[in-house]
Amino acid sequence: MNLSAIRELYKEPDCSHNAKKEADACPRPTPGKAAGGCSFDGAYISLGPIADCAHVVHGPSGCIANTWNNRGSLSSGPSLFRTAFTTDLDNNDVVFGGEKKLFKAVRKIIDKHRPPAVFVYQTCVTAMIGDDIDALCKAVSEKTGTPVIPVDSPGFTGTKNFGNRLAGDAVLRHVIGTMEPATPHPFNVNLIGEFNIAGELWAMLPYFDELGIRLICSLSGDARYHQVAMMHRAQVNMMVCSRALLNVARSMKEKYGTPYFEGSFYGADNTSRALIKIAELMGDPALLGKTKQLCEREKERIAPSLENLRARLAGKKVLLYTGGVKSWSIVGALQELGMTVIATGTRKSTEEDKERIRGLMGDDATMISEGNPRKLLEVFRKQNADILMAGGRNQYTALKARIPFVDVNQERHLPFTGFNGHVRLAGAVADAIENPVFAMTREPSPFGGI
Amino acid sequence: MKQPKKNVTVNPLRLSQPSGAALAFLGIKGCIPLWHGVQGCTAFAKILFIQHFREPMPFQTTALTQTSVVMGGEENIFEAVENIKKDARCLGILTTGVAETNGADMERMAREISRKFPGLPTAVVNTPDFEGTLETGWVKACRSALASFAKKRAMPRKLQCAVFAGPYVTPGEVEWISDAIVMYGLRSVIFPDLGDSLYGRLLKNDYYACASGGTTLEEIATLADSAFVISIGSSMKEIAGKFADGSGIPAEHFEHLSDVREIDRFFTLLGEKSGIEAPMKIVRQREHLMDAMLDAQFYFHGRTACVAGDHDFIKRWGAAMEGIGAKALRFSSIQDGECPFGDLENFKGFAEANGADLLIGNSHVADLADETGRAVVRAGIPVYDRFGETQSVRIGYEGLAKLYMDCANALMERPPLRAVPYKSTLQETLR
Ligand code: SF4
Repeated sequence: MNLSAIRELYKEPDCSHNAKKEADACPRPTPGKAAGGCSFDGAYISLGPIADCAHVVHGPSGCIANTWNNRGSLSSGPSLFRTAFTTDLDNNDVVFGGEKKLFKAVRKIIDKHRPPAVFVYQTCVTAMIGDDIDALCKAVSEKTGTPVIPVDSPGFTGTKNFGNRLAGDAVLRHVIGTMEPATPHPFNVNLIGEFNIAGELWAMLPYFDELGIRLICSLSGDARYHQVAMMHRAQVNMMVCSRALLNVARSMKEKYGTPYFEGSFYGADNTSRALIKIAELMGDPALLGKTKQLCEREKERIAPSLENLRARLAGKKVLLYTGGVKSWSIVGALQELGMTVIATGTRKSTEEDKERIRGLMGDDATMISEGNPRKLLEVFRKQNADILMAGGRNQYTALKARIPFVDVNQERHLPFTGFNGHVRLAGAVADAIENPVFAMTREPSPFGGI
Repeated sequence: MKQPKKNVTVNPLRLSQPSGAALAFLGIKGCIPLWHGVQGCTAFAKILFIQHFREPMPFQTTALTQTSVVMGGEENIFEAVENIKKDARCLGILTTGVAETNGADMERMAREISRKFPGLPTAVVNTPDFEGTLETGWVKACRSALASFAKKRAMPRKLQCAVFAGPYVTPGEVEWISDAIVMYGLRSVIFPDLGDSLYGRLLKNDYYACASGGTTLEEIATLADSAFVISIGSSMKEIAGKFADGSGIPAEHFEHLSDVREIDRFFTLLGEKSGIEAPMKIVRQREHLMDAMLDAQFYFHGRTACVAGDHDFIKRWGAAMEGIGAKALRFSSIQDGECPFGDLENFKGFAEANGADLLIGNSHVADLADETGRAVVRAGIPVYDRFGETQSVRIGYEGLAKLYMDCANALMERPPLRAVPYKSTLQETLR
């Protein structure tokens, strides 16, 4: 990918990071203050869960060694995606180029594993030595008949968010629209940005089946290559809790006219809203009626358990620190439980996200744009919060400060989506707050020290 | 707690009362536990303990037969004592169901034995297997040994601490308690001392016909001279209290050392008695435990742990589980107040009905956990399918941290709430 193509990608017209300032949608990381991953990380995370494909990282082993297989994205079938393939460049390759090695590696993987497709990820070093993965992927593809998709994602091009976009760009260019469903179906949907963390997709799928809405592809949790290739046949795209792959939805709207919306499956209300929105966009009154009924039924079903949990949670204060869409979707889910969200992180949120947060939390909502641990603790203490909900990175910040913590990012082990997920989320929060360990560890030791 | 009467016990959870008494006698150095009964009972218990402790078991039996039962069986006792007296410093004679059914008068036997074998201190105890459990047998043997071997308070020992330990304090834990006391510059006499006898050490002699270690008779004689008494495990509370009262010394009871507050109290007591500040090591271990509990508590949120076994055992594990925020359900081997009880079949139903995530108990409980795909931590008696149970220390700050790591690991291995894969039938129509 040349420089101007990359610059094009920086400008994501539908991203409201861009709306106010005319600058690039993805700000440059600040040296000494940057905490997130690189764009390779973002690209790999976005596509890595496509379960039946081989994912090959073209670079030194360092890029993949630290990240592979540590996310909770689950597969209901193939597990090839869990294998970390890397060309593992050495000194010699850096001097003479790694293309040959990559070529052999991909051929070998195809021979041995027969995947429906291979994704090849470019990293910093291989970009610097000028390996042309586009041409190479094309060559292997032609030779073997297996699609080999280049993902041009060297880390130095930007942040993790930008890497998500690079991943989206790769599937838009090379995958989407290359296959057709075997049987037609009246209602088809894609869930973009659903990663099936802890099985969250599985919590939603039965509802889709019940409503007669066919999920073509969840990009990319528990996805298969052919599903990605057929995404253009959906009538609706839902961006799930993330703006990471927004360029996919936007381009599909331009190219195929597929409408999209942003929604969330966190919280019973959000879930109902999202399901109803999908039905609305399908434009079928009968489907809409059925969907509304289903939502009512499910809400009624969980009402008793939620009532119990509400009693335990009412008035409790949460400090929420998570990026992007989750910053508003989880706020809603928590408020449904009678909790007060005293502040929320907005590091990755857009102006639009922030608008929604103000809508939910009021105008004086505290937004934390910089999530260094000290700042988090300061806000927590000042506002007398009861629990911190954040990503795994801040887990030990909370624990060292003897603060109850619930992981709301990808490292968690419980599905929080849908109606049952809401009960589960509430249960997790209540259990964390009530755990006796926190009170005990706050008491002074009889022997000095802590 | 009522339980419908069952006519058949399926996989017992309860271990027999005589085996508990025999085990307690093994904590007295030079003692031979003599089982008054048919040789089979002894052999079974022997195998059980050999598998658990991985040590030889110097049990003897009066080997009742059909004829000797008719004759009352007393002759068998004298004959047995005659045969083993050269190997023993002292004897612990315990009855079994057969001897009890036969109406053995052990008080009279004790008098006869001391008359016939004056140099051989002997304690006797009635432990029919048709009642009680390992724990009650242990307590009875301890009571009898104290009555027979202990002496009146004579020469106060300012620095001596007498520790009465229940049967579910492992040999490793007994050693730990002793070390902790010594760390404070005090001297400990532990009764019975399974640490010294069953920790598992290779010794000079290649064969011991009696308990190779344990509390010595001399030490038992000085128990009353101690400055104070500590009892650990609710089974020991009463004997320890009575003994301390009778000797005019203070007693401090610990239900277990498996929760932070009890451990705090334990070290605070040692600090008070010795006048020494808590050693840095203890302070740091406590700091580590706090950190470990915070790290591990996630795995216990909303989880249910079912603990099966004798009273002391379920109490200590229940407390540990509650301390980290799990729901603890105790299941007793015998009728015990309000606590549900029964055999392993009952326990299986109990665990299922309560949606148990983690089972805690002996190797039989572990089999049951495997069968039902539940997480398990092995502890108690017998643990025959793992090494190291005898030496394990799950009390004190460090030990409790280890306990939580073990349980968290077990839960991690069998995640109780892992999502079930769902395949959409509609999505299948794509291809
Ligand atoms: S910044 Fe570059 S070299 Fe580092 S992990 Fe990312 S891709 Fe690899």
